[in-house]
Amino acid sequence: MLTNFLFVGFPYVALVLAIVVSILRFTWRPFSYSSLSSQFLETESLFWGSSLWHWGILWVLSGHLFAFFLPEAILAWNARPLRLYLLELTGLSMALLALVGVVALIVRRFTDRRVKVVTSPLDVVLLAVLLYQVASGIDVAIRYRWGSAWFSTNAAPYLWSLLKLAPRPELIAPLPWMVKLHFLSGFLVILLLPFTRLVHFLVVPIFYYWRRPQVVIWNRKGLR
Amino acid sequence: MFPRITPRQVLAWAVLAALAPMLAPGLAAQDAEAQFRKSCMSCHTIGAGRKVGPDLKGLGQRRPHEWSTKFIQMPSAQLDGGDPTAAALLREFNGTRMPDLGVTAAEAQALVKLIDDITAAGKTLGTAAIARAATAADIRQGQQLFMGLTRFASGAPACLSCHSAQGLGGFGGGRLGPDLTGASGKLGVGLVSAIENPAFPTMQGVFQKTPLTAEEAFQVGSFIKSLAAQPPARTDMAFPVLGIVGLVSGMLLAGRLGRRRFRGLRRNLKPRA
Repeated sequence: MLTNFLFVGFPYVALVLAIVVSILRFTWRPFSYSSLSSQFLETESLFWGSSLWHWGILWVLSGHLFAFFLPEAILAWNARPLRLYLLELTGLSMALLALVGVVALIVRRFTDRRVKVVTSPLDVVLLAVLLYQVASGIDVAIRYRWGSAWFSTNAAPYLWSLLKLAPRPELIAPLPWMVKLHFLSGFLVILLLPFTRLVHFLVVPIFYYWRRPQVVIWNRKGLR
Repeated sequence: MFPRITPRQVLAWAVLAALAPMLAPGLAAQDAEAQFRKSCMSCHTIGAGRKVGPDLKGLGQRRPHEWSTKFIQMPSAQLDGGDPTAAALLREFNGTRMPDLGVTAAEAQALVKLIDDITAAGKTLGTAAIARAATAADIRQGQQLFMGLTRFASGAPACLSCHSAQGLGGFGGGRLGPDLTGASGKLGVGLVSAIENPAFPTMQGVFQKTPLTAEEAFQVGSFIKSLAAQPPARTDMAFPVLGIVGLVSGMLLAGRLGRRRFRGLRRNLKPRA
């Protein structure tokens, strides 16, 4: 019952809300699709927070997605213990970078007077959930190793079973609670995505890498 | 025009969607064969010979259905209750007790019927235990399989993914499952069948799809048995320590590459003014 609610019902709520509200927000409040950058207000500690967080979390997230889409490839890679250790060590280092980054961002948000003024309650919730997510992931990676292997064998089929609308929560039900809480807060991040500034994840401005170059000309005289 | 959807309606539908699985009735009763594979096959076969427990072929002719059903449901009741048949079985199998598996009455009846059906059809279910003594080559090959250096024929993940054992080298084995150094002491004769048909819930989802062959299970079991006298592996600390080394390197790299990024404009202008 509880397992069904937490690992079948809740993920569906999170996913459906994430998709529907993302679309609604894009139609109703297109200009709110932003990270609401506070770089103008404070830049020095933002460097350490933002760079470390983004580099760390993007690698970690890519690793999770890779294991979700190609679990067999991860298992084949892990077939040599040395390769397994290298993969786990890279993941752990990246997760630690993300942890230092998110802690720096949290400290900045609560100590810098100007940044504090533009902080909403949902920002606090989001930062707390992200901190928990990264910290619990590191804990699981160290105490319940080797996650890359059992993610591929247990978590990936469970996540696919959700997408195929034939949920198999029994695949993850026997896992330790720390691991299951990491799943839950992961779903919570998905749920928070469209309601917070995390929505900028969906509109990362990278299209200028391959669009045709634009020439911007300042044509007012005397502006130097 | 389209009706306007309010955020509150979105939320209401979402909550209903979350509750729906709770209202659904419990999972459909598993068929008896799946149940047999899950709960019984690590110790029993039907018609393929003895393992930890007796071959169940012809059970219906040997014992009354009622006795079998009761025994499957709660062996401890008969083993401890002075039932003469149960006592004789216990002696025959060197004191190895069948554990209470939490099987319901309906499931036990379905299992007894399955045993009758398979006996009547002259079929077999399960594979016999390998009886030969383990050689040094078996132990070596078992270690290779445990560590993933030789892959299981079914493509199943190596034991090291979740289990540790003494003497693996490197960062050692996983910690999701128990250290297997002393497993042969705990599981005794059941070790190889437990590897071949694990009754552990975490393993079932994985190994039902990618089972080990009897030979592979025997070799891995031989490797684990060879460790029996050793102490369990210590949790390796090099892994988290090297992770912190990775963190520091990453921070140094970020500081080096990004030293010009996000520097306040004011800082550059101020000394010049």
